[in-house]
Amino acid sequence: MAVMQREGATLDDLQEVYERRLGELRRVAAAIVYDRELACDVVQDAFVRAVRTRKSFSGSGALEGWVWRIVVNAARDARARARLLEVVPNSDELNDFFAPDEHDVGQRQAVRAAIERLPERQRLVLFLRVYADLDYCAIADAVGISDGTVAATLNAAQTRLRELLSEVRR
Amino acid sequence: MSDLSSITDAVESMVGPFDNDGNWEEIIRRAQADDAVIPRHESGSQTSWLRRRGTGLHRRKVGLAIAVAAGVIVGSAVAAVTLIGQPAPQGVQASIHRSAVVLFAGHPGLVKATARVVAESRDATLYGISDRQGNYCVELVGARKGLVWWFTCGFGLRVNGQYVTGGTTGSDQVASIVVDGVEPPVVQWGRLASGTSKARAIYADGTTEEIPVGSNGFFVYQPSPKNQPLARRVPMTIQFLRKDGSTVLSTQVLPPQPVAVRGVPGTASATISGRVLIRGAAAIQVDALGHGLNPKTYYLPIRSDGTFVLTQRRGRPTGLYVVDRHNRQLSNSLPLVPETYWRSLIAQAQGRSVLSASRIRTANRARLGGGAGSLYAKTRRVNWTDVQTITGGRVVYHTTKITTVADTYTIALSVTNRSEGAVELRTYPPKQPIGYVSPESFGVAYRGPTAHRPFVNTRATTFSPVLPKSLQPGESWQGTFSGRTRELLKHHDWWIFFGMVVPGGHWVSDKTFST
Repeated sequence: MAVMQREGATLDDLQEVYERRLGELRRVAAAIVYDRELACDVVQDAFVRAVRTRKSFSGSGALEGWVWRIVVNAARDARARARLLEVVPNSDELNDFFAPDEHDVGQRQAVRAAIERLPERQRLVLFLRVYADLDYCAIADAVGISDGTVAATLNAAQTRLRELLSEVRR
Repeated sequence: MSDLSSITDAVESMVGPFDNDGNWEEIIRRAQADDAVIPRHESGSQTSWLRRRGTGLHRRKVGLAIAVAAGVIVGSAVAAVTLIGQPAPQGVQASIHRSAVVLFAGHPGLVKATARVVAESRDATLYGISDRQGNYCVELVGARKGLVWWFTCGFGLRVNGQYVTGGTTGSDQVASIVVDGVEPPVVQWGRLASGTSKARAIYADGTTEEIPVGSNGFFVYQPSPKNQPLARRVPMTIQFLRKDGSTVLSTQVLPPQPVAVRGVPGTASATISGRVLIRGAAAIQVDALGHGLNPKTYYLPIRSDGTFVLTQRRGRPTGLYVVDRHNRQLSNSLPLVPETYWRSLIAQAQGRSVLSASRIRTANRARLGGGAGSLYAKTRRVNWTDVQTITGGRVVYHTTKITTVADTYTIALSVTNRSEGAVELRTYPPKQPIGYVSPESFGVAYRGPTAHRPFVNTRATTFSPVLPKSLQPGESWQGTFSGRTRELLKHHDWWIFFGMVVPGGHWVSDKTFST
């Protein structure tokens, strides 16, 4: 039986992903770039890129995974640019970003500090799992690793976080 | 970690959720604008040419020269398609920045923002800065003789913890100044309300026009040339619509009237004159500032030919509008800008990129083939009948409407089988490779450049409703077909292709339309 592999994504498909997933995409981008407004811009720019290059979507995986990869890459680029231009937020701005309410400020700072100490891939996999509720397969698509590596990375991230947070508690 | 039970909860609480309120239209607009920067084959040919040159310094110099040249071409091509996103000229930057410093001191992002083109029409450009909390400053500047101008800032609203844009049709004080006897066109501007994605204008006689929206919900609406006289005479209603087409907000916008200002209003030598085109107009109400800056109001008669002149000094007039015999306001409030000021605006426009935008457009159109293509939707209502003779009768194609926007076309038509037998309707995908047979189907075509000028067809990709496989004797299909080709931006004259019908083949209309 011949298997037809669709080449290229349609605008309707991309719009459907955009409308269904926008909140989660922004949230993951925000976790990467530490800036809610920049995250919105990053997602918007990423979709412009996706629309422009939609013909290059091979159809071998899920479209959503392909979009996630573009958004994650765009967010990492934005984060790298911010570091390069030394416009990474200072600690006060970070506190505003992570803990806009007075409640739980200390705990969130501890979590943030712990997450900052994780390797980048572990952080990314964790964000995709927690903020976007992606399954291992979708995370694998988005990050460009295998399903097994996702599971191992996630497990390692959680273990490491538990250790770091218990250090803080002590 | 007393009240956070797990790692997941801890991470979950770190970055708050976002809403799903996006702007898909902006993505499409930006993607299309980027697509249209330069044809791929042009940039490709430059690269390959460079590769054939030598190495070392010479190549770097050539590369730099080409990069600069390509930058110029790319820049002009962008401008031809849309200026949205381009930085505002220095004068506009300065005036917007001055206001932002005063009004938005607590919003450093807005104060530092670069003013950019946020919306445009054929003859006017809206520059602005805005933030996600709904705050903004904009300046509307006309790009031709006759001056359209206004400047304003607005604040966002906070409703249930969310920042929203209330939406505005900020056209109640747009200056419409006659310069050297030339009246500017009617131009309205505004900003969509949160949750809406489209806007349209409806006139008292039922005429409706869609309003193209720029970035961040801003728009400039310049009624089509056909509706310009109407837009001077009667109020229009601007409606904001949700994506599903439901109306969220309707605002009536009063028509501006052309006013000429000589000298500085309020001085002995100043003359303010104008022409009233509104039905039912009875007088001009003048708002002025008297001694001690006390506001004063007085009325001017309108002459039988619709003109009026204000010469007397009764305080410093600041604005005027047309009223009916019950003193009800009929026109927008026209700010009286001193002549020196509007002349400086024009000088600024001519000296900087406001007018150069139209120059770039003109130059680029010439580059692309002499005025082909248009950013703006161009609709031609036609009544064309093409008859294709086939075995046992004929097939009749009746074309009623042709619409082109940039690189997209839509043809509205009916196809009727006036033969004794059924005819099949066949279409072919746009990119089907050409073999021995190059079948043509519904689409539009231009004449190729070679000696015998063959038709180069761009087949339609969308049929609405779906094209039937066949038509029985006497049966009709009525709908639209549409497609997309960059060639629309390059070629003036286009023919419509019909078919293919079996028996019969394809048919080319003997009429042409131009972009």
